[in-house]
Amino acid sequence: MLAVTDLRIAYGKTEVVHGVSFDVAAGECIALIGANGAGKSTILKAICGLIPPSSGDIRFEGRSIGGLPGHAVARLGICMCPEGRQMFPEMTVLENLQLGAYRRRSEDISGTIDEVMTLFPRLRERASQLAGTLSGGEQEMVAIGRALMAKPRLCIFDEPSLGLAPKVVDEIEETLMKIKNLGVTILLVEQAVSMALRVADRAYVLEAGEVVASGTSQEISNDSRVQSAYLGG
Amino acid sequence: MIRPVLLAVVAAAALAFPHVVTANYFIHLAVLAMVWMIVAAGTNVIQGYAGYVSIAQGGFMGIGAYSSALLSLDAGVPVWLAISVAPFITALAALIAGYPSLRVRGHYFAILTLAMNMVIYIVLVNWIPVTGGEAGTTGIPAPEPISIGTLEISFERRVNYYYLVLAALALTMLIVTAVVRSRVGRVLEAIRQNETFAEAAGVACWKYKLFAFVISASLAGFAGALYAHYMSFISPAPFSVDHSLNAILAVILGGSGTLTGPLVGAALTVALPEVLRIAEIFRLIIYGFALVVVVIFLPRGLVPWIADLAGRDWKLPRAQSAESR
Repeated sequence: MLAVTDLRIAYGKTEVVHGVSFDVAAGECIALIGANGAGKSTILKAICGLIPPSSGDIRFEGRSIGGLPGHAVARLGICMCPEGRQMFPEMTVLENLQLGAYRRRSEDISGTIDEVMTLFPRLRERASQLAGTLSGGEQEMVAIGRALMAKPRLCIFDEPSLGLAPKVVDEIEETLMKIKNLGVTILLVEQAVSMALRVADRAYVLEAGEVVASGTSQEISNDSRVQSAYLGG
Repeated sequence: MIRPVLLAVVAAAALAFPHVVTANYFIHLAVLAMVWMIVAAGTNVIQGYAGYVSIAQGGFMGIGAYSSALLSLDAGVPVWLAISVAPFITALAALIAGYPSLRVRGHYFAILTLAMNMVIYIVLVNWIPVTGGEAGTTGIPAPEPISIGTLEISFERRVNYYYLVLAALALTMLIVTAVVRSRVGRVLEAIRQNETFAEAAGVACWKYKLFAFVISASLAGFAGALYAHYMSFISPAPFSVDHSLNAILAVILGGSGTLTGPLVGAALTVALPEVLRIAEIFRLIIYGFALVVVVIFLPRGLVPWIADLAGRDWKLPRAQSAESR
């Protein structure tokens, strides 16, 4: 569904992603893991059209999308859930969800709102509350719910666990499992490696802008380098 | 329940005003205040809703003023037509200027619009064969009189021009209200609150920003045209950057992102310097001090503050927002 081939990205003259390749098949959940500065977010920005790749190819369902503007990428069915619990702070939870379905016809939205609220019962309770006044975990639910509202073919999550309490991270993990079971194709970028490996089918390990290991989540968890670097083993 | 009543009271007061306060000086101030209200209501669309500060509103007012004045003076176009066309000419100018500039974000946009205003001002001053330069353009005609039966309404008369501008203001508010209450208005608020996120939801943000910019500019152009045919004389001075800043101030003072706030703010920016004339040389000092106090203690503006005091939910002032950008 998504195929990234020999992707190189530079900020100014400094190349930070040195020829990364990976692919995501329909219905799969793929994790990109790695430490700070490994290039994970940069790769996501390139997929979402926020920065142009300097070379290499990004194909979504066979179509090259490298360099398309962000809104055009979103229209193809790629939905990004950016890091840091991004939402519209001065709008209610309901309005946030409605805006998530911006590019869909308004008639079919209410059904999806209901699905999202079934997934996150907490959001139903808080529907008319301003999103900026919610707790961190609830805001992340709004952000994830907002992404689902677009009925994306590919859903990209950028560090959904960032800055959340361990208990809330567990909830996020459960939610990701539920979304995965709904059949949504997921690209998950995480620093919480053990959580990401529990959710994902396959994973790629990034280090300093290169893929240093890849395989099924099981293989990656058993990889001795990954264990010593990320899993405290 | 209170809102429609309040609206009716304000409308009645505005209609009765020139018959109650008959002094020409006050009617003159009221006309100027309403001209600035139109500018501020337009500025509010881009500043209060989309969250982008445009420092070119004065310049766009100038484009509207000069195009309407010159069309009626040099091209012999009927004044009514000239005034109606002016907002479209201004919109076209804003479209051309805004298309490349709205691809930048935040402060860079403000700086670009500042430059736009400077360019407009320099053209008005130096394109002497057309604009008359610093000396300005004189003898701009008032709109042609309207005859209803035997009654002839002449817009040379100040009171009649007052009603013309009042009607124009009402039209402006209808347009602005329709825009901000629509889906477009909702998207503009989304852009203000989180532009990257709006883009991620599939919103082609630059189109909406350009739309807000063009609407704001064309309303400023409309106000400029009304100003020109009212004063019968225009020079580049009222269309300088200073006056763009005044429009921004009116929006912040009254309450950005609210419908009524910019109107209150514009009235104050016209009235306060006049009221403070009694303080003579301290006038501008007091004015400046009052503005600083308002901005520090009432960052959301006067109207949201009064609404809070009245203990009612006016819904529109959603929180401190645009001014933090």
